[in-house]
Amino acid sequence: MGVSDPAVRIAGVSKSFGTHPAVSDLSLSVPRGTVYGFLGPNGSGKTTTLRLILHILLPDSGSVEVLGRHGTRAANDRIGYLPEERGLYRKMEVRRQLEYLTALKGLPPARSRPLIASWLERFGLSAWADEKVEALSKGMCQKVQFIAAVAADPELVVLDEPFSGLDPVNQEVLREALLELKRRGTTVILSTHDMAAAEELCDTLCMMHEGRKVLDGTLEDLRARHGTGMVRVESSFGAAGLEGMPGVAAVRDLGRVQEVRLSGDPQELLRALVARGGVSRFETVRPTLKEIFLANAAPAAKGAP
Amino acid sequence: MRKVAAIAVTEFVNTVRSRGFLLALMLTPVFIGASAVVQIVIKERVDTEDRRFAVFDPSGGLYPAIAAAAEGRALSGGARAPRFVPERARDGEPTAAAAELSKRVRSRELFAFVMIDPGIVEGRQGAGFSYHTQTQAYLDLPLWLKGVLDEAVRSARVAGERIDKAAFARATKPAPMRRLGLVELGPDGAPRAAAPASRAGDFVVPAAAMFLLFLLVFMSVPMLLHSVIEEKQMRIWEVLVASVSPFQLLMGKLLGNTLVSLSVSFFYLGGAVAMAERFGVGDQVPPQLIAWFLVFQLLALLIYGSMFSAIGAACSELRDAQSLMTPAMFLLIVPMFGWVAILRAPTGGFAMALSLFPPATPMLMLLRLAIPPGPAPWELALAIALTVGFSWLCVWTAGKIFRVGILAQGQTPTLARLVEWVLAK
Repeated sequence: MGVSDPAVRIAGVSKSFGTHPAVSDLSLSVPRGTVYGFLGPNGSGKTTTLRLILHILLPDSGSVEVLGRHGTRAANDRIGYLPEERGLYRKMEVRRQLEYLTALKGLPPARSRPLIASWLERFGLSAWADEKVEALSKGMCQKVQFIAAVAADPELVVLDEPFSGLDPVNQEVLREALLELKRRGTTVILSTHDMAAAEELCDTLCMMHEGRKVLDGTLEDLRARHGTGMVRVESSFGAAGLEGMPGVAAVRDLGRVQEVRLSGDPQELLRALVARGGVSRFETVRPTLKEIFLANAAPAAKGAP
Repeated sequence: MRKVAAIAVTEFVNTVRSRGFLLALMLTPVFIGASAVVQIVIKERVDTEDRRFAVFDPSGGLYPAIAAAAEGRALSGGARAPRFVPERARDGEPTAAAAELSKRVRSRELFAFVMIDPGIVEGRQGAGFSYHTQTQAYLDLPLWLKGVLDEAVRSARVAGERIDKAAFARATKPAPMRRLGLVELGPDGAPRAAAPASRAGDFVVPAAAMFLLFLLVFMSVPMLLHSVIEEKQMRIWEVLVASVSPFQLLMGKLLGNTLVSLSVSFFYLGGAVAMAERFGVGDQVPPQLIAWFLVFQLLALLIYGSMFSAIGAACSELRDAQSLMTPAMFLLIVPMFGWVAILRAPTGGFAMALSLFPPATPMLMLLRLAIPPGPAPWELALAIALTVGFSWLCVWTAGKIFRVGILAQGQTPTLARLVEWVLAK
């Protein structure tokens, strides 16, 4: 398998639970060494997709290829996983628990010990290594669980809502750790409904809604594809003066500034505004992920029964 | 296989380090021993109340023999057994006398009364004696009375017939019976004297072996169920099945549980053998019986361990598991229904049929093996084959249920749904 081959390749995958389709005809490709984000509201099929990647669930149709292995769990030892539903053995000591979970990834304790010690040090948990998990706070438990996902030095790390429940300080620690993984060349798949975190961390994104992919691509691609339809204008004539001008579909009055949704070429509107005079500001708006998502998912939601 | 071993070792270490396990390991024999001691103490200490009874004997010929026997018993019986205290009931019309004596029994003045029919010594047709009490479960007094009155009536008849008492005693002296085993041939081919029958060998060792195996299985397999449910409740299962297949997880758990159970065996079997040596019946516990014990323990743990693991995987909470546990518990206690009959006729058709029923085989075949001469070799071979096959079926079925169940949350599946999971590809 070459380095240019994707870490994950999903083709035409569908998965239903009873009569409920959780994922429908999903195809995507996760480039190696990148941070790939799954975005979408609760119930959009993100967690099911992650479980399909880990072969915890098998697809009803379509194919899943992970780290060059097609349709088997053979690559699972090279994948670290932080599920959304966190859990640890409460009566087990932190170090012993991490050694056990990394042993299940095929790493003997002799090799995992220094890696675990290094991660515990990084997260400030060295002093708690020999304590039982029940003595740890919730935030500490989440950090231990993250270490369990990465301590075996996997090639691919799958994280389901990694920031949920963490305070801002620990969120920052985790963000740094993710960037460190990326620098080492680890592929990271991140599922979240935190659009801001995804915007900050992810190189490539896949937006899901009701089990279907509604968008995917790099952040720049998405903005390029969805960011040209909006401009901000500051002028002496305000919102009323913008109504009916060429290329204007809708105007949102923000006070001194108006946000204009375009139906045509922005250059045409700019020329018209310059000709009319009194324009002090004209800028194209780079939409946030949330705006892009709402623009793409909302119509589907409205159309949903 | 390394992952299965890692799961097994972790299960083993987690279990044997838990306070609950150590307490159960130490306290189970203590409780069993204590309950035996308590029963003996209760029997000897609690039941010492005098048994007063009246004897309605219009002829007056038999009462003196009863009174003398009661006095003799009181002198030889010691303080621990209740005394039997007779009194002669007033003569009168029998029905009225019986009514009066019944009244005294109801008022707890008497424990019982005996009505002796006229003509009992003469052997009149239908003449005998009747024993009346409110406590029919207490058998010591009526059995004692039967013996005393039989002897008194016999003596009276001998005296009446003018037979020489000594000659009669010689003529009616019972033939002593010795209970022995079979005659074995020595290395030189010469027959050896048969060994005396041993209560330890014929009853205690077989029953103890079977109940010890039952105890070990009963102690071990619910721990598996708890462990699986805990992993579901603590949300650990998803991390585990992202690293190992559900079947590997099941096998690791079964193996870990087997290690725990074998460790307990080491203590309990060691203790049992030491006790047998201490009481001079060590030769009744041959090494091959211990080997068979371990073989059947392994098979029983595979059968019941896989059943209980599957139940744990199918349920999200312990209370939900109760309904599914009922059929598994029923199979587990099947040997309890038949063990006494098998002990009495270990080579009979019933013994053979029930001990070849795979869920009951480990315990009942062990019971039969402990009773000389044991089952025929073909029976043993068939039992092993059937039980290994059934164990494999249980593990396979549990693996299928485990695969789906470990991912399922919420409502407990019905038996029909479990069958669907098993039949799913």
